[in-house]
Amino acid sequence: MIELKEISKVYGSGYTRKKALDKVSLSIPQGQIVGLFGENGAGKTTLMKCILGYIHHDGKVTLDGEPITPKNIIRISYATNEHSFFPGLTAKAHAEFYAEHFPKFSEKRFKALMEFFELPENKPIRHFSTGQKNQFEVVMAMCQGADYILMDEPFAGNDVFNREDFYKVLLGILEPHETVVLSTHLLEEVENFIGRAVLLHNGRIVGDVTTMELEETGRSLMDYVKETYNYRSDRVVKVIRELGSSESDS
Amino acid sequence: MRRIFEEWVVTNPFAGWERQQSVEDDARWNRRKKRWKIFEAWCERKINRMTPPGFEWKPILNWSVAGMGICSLISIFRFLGRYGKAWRSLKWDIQTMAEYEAYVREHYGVQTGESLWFIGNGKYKDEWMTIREFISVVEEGELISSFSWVMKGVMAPFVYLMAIILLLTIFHYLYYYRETKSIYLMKRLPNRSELHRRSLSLPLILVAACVVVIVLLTAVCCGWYYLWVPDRCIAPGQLSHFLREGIFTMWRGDGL
Repeated sequence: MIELKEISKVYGSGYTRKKALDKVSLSIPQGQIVGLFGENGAGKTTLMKCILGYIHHDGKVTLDGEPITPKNIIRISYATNEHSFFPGLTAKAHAEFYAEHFPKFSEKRFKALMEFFELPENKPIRHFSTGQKNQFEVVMAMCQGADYILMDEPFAGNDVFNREDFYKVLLGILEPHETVVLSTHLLEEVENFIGRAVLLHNGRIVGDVTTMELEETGRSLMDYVKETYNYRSDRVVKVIRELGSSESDS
Repeated sequence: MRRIFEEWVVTNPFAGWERQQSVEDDARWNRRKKRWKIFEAWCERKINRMTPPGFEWKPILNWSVAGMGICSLISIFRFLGRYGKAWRSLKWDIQTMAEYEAYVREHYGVQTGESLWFIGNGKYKDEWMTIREFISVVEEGELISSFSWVMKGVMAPFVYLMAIILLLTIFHYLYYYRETKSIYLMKRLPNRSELHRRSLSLPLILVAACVVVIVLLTAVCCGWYYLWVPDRCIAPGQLSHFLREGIFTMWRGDGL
């Protein structure tokens, strides 16, 4: 289980000071598919980087009670829209690199996913299209052999068919012990795919619900998000009405 | 013509042997080529493991080797310049020089002692050395500048080269932020030293290669210094003085 205790992160100082995370506490047990939602700047990426120890932060992150160190970081993989592959290396060379450093690297899963996405094995990733790069990023995260797979908006730039197919494949290939934390804006797309939704707003967790709880209350994920964020649908009507009247006056 | 050639091949007892030889040569050549290719691939694999993954290291290696060659040439010229200056500063005994030339003319029929190197297929080389020892043209009691002085600033070009090579380290670290954030993957590796190993190895190996070239060049310069200067003109303890002090001054840029 990944446990975050009172994680705080502040960027900048003085006038540029921005609290990206404010005492966030969260537990992610093994085997869950967690959706991490929030507006731009809510702190989703920062939260993931704190888990991986990429940025300095206050608070404590533990993995099965142990702090995350080179010893156990092998159990976490990360797919990011910033991409973490080597652009000059081919897919095949990446597989060799992963196999060398990650003992649980799954060659079988790599081959299957490469075939699924129809990605070329002997072409430097630099020459892939943006969509292919995203797919490759996800493939590597999935094949590392990690127990916790963190994905930070991995499908930005991919077409809807690719995304939908991928969710299906993901559900099919995930082992029971594998955990996925997926940060995305595509609420409706992942609604049927995730088991739990965590909502972030201004660096704080404002909602944490399982899809089972949602089903029991008969609400959709979108409804829950709108409720949690105090979404006011009347403001849209108001703006349109105001703009409409001002244009007719002129 | 073809018929004559075929007859010749049939009648010539060596024709088959030549052909056989040529086939064997080809096979040997192919074997060598194969072995070289295996060695080349092995080196490539080794260097690939010492550089950031996917990094184009070949141009860097070529430029570094070229840089070492250029620096070696500059260093040799600097050494020869200072060495010549040291020679010119010696006081020459005109009387002894005349005697020396007369002796060489009389015994070997050449104008200068140095010509002994080029006559008789080099068989007078040793005699020239002997003559040089006993009939020197340098004034009695004259001492040539120390080896440390001659070497001052000679290796300065290598300092610049090594500084440039060490800058490569920064370039290697920055590579993990170029185009993508592969630094995230490097930081996630169970072996944390991998990042530093891949960033530092090649620059350090190239710097070590520079040091080897410097040591070799210094040895050549030292040999040259001792070979041409008469022993009586060399102050004792040159090498220990060089190792004590000269080794630090041969890097300075104010050589000539």
